[in-house]
Amino acid sequence: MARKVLLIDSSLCISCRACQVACKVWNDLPAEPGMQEGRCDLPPRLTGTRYTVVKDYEHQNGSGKISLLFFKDQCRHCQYPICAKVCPLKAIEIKPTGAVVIMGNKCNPSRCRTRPCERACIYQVPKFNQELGKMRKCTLCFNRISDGSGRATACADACPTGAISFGDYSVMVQKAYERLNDLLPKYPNARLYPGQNGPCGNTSVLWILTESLSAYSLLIGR
Amino acid sequence: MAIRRRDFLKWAGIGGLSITVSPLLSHTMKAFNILQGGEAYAYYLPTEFKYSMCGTCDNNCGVILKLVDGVVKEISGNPADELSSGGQGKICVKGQSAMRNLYDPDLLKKPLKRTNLNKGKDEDPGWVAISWDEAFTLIAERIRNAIDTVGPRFVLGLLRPTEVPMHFVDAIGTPNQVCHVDTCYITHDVAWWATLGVNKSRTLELEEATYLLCFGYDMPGKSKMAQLNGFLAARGKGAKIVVFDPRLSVTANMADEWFAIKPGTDLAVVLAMIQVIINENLYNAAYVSSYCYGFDELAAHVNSQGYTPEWAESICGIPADDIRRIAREFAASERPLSPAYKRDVGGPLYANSFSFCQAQIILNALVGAFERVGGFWIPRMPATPPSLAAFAPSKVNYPPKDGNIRVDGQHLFPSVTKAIGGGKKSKGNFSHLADGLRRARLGEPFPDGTPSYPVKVIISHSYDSHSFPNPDTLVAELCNPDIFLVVIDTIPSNIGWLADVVLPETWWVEIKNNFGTTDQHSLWNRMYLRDGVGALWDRKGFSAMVNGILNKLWPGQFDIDWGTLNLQRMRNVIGLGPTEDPVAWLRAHNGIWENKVYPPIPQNLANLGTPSKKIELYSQRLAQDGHEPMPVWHPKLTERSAADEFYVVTNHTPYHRMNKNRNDYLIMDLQPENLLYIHPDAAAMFGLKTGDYAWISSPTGKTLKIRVKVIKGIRPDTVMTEHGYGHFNRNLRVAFNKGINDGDLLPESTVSESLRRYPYNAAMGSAILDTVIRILGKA
Ligand code: SF4
Ligand code: SF4
Ligand code: SF4
Repeated sequence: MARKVLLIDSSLCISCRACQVACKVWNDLPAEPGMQEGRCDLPPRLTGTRYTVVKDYEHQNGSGKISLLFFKDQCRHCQYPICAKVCPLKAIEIKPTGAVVIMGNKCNPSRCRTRPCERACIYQVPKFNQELGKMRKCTLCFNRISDGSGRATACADACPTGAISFGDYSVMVQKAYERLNDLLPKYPNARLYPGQNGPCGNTSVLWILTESLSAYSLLIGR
Repeated sequence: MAIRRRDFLKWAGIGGLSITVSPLLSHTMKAFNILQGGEAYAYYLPTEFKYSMCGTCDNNCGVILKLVDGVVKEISGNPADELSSGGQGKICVKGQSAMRNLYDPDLLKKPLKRTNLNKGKDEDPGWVAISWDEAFTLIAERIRNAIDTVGPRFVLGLLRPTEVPMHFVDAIGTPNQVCHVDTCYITHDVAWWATLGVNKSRTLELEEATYLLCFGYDMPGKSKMAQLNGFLAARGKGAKIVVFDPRLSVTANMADEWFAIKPGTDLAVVLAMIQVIINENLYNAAYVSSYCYGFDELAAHVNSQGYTPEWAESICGIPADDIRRIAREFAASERPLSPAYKRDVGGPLYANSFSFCQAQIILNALVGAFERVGGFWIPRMPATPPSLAAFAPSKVNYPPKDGNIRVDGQHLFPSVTKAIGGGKKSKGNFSHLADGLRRARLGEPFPDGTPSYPVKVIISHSYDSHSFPNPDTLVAELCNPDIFLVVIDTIPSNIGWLADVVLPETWWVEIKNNFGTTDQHSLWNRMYLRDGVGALWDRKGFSAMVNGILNKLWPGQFDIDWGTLNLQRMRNVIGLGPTEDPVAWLRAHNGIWENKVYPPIPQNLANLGTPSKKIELYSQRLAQDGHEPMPVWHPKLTERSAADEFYVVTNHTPYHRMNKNRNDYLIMDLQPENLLYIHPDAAAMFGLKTGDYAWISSPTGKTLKIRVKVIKGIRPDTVMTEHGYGHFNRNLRVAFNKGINDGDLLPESTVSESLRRYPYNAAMGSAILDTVIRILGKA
């Protein structure tokens, strides 16, 4: 199966979190009671039982205009993932779709102890799952799209607005640039994220953002 | 405790309402087997797809259920449904939540009887499971007793105005069918009836509009598929979008311009826009002269009243130049539309909401937006004939109604009665109910001197006290031991906690061999197959319950075979012969029958149901009933008078459908409490930061503790909170006691108050947000 891209167009997102729920359903993850993270206590975060989370930011531009910005956080699925490089047990594999997957049968944090994958990841994505005793993160739904049914990821299928789409690498990259060009007249700060030329190479997850990275509390240059 | 689907097994055993463990267990076992270890197991289990129509919200999207070994594993949109998701096969997070609602271990599974005769929020009802026969006998005895000793009107239905509930109250002969519309869309119903001669319409073609002028219209923020899609399509095609809303809603966030308008002053803006459009000759003159009545009166009215943009600015604070500019842009645009839907500003939020609703219709009429591409359409419903009389005439020999004096005082509002079907339908008034029950208990007459009477039996279907403004007064009345309360629902509710008998109803995913239609966005007639999984546990559909109760009272007399009737109606609509199977037909046709008529037909406007047969800019009907025939500015009831007082607006989260999916653990995970959204300047006055708790007090004197989120996207004089939280039914193990009920902040209205506003309150809307709350300080 060829390399895929998950494209997240923040200009279409309504922060309904259907994606977040669908991810939990597909991966059979439990609720996280007692956490007020949906719309309060920013920043909401990824956990060992939450592979994706929609964060919201309020932004005020130079002319005083206020806007809400939504960012669906998750693993970027890098071309040369540093997490895979640092894992002493070689538990992190790159699938043909470009998915970077922590293999449950190999990951064993009680052996590597320091959880180097989480510490090395520049986005701090891998997280410890208490119940399983393993590191967990988004799998780019490799176990959903590899069955030949032509389905997209669970989050993309659940998204009601088309903010999330999934498809072949070259098609989606082209779509991302076209969409960006459409947005620029209304959103002069719009951009693609993350940068595709860093040490980790390009990524299988791409975002279209309507504002600067700092407005999303994202680290510049990554 | 972390909850997940595989934990159902553990959950099924503990406490609460899980009375019959064995049938639950078998479903749970299936869910358990499939789910442990993820989906991989599913691949070698039998998989089946079924068509249905989502019933979680009233957008009624066409859906496909995916069943794995008989268990609903996925609910997705039906790509053949062009109207709900533009043929994308998408549905919203609330609809997807339905599969967890279906297997929720807290669901009602068997009829329950109360053993603790004391009622109250903190009284454990002491449920015991009873058989359906026992339940029907018990309820019928109470109804019989009320009818024999005092009369049918002493039975009250809290029931929606649809066919089966109406059959039920008609058979009993009570005039009391009370429903929620005065807190929802009653203003739209009556204003449409007064100006267009038809009931409400939510039939609007957003996607082709070139200019959307929105007043609090936040359908995208509620993830209502049809409106969300239409909105995004219009935006994608470059429509200009302007939103007036006290806070930066999701819709406002996607708009070109957002005006943080003072709550309850939108009417001034629309009146000024009407004035500009008329005085500058910007209206669609050909359309107005062909299809509208009363233009000269309207023109004289807005000028003699002085409804200029400068006047509006003095009321709402929005610069006159902006109001004028937007009025000009709107009228000049190719296909302008000011959309409306239920509980936006045109809904019954403020004392002046009826006038607003009427003014918004007039604004749309002046630019020719009715029966036009990218505009409002005259409703195409119903596709199915009201068929009781056609198919079962011997069963509709109803007794005469037991008078017309209603507990909620609807008889004092003739326009409402006429608008909703000349008395054939009853929509009644949630927010007068507590007042009515109190009046009856004290033996006080109505304001016009007619005597009141105390209700003996209340039957509530799929409603919750939670949705009432200031529900505590209603809760107190419902605790009256003289009232026998029957509650029918799929899931434990707060009103159910007070019930004498609770009947478990099937959830929409269970409905099969049936169909659904929708009037919400029905640009053309459609009928959906409902081919669900069948009743789980010991649940029944509502119509089976109605038959069960009526057969105990009058054996056979009102017994309707609703199942056969539904199949007949389906054949009738599709045009099938008497032996053909409509379910098979629909299965073979993507689950949807439709009769697509496009584009809209302006000639439909040539013979409207108003006295002039035109769109009445001057409403003769309103004049007849003693109301203002054209919208007049009236201020909202409550003005802020101190620095610690704030206007309050409420909202639904995109993931909650009122209370229906309140107990979904994954939805609760997204936002376990509702929040008080407050401007930084206001927060600073009390030293509040995001994440703090604050004490607030309602106009009725209740003190509540709520978590704060500080945002810039709201007016400094206004706070916002969300509906769907603060449940007191302990059988809702996920939803119990999380957050506060926004209804606790809002005052209920009384019949006398509504009558005081009679001249401009033809719809007896409840002015539900017309209030201020007080922030007491950090908790
Ligand atoms: S791709 Fe799959 S695992 Fe990753 S966030 Fe989306 S649903 Fe979750
Ligand atoms: S499902 Fe789509 S619209 Fe909803 S929060 Fe996720 S990305 Fe945004
Ligand atoms: S909008 Fe969502 S909840 Fe409403 S009918 Fe459609 S899928 Fe169901």
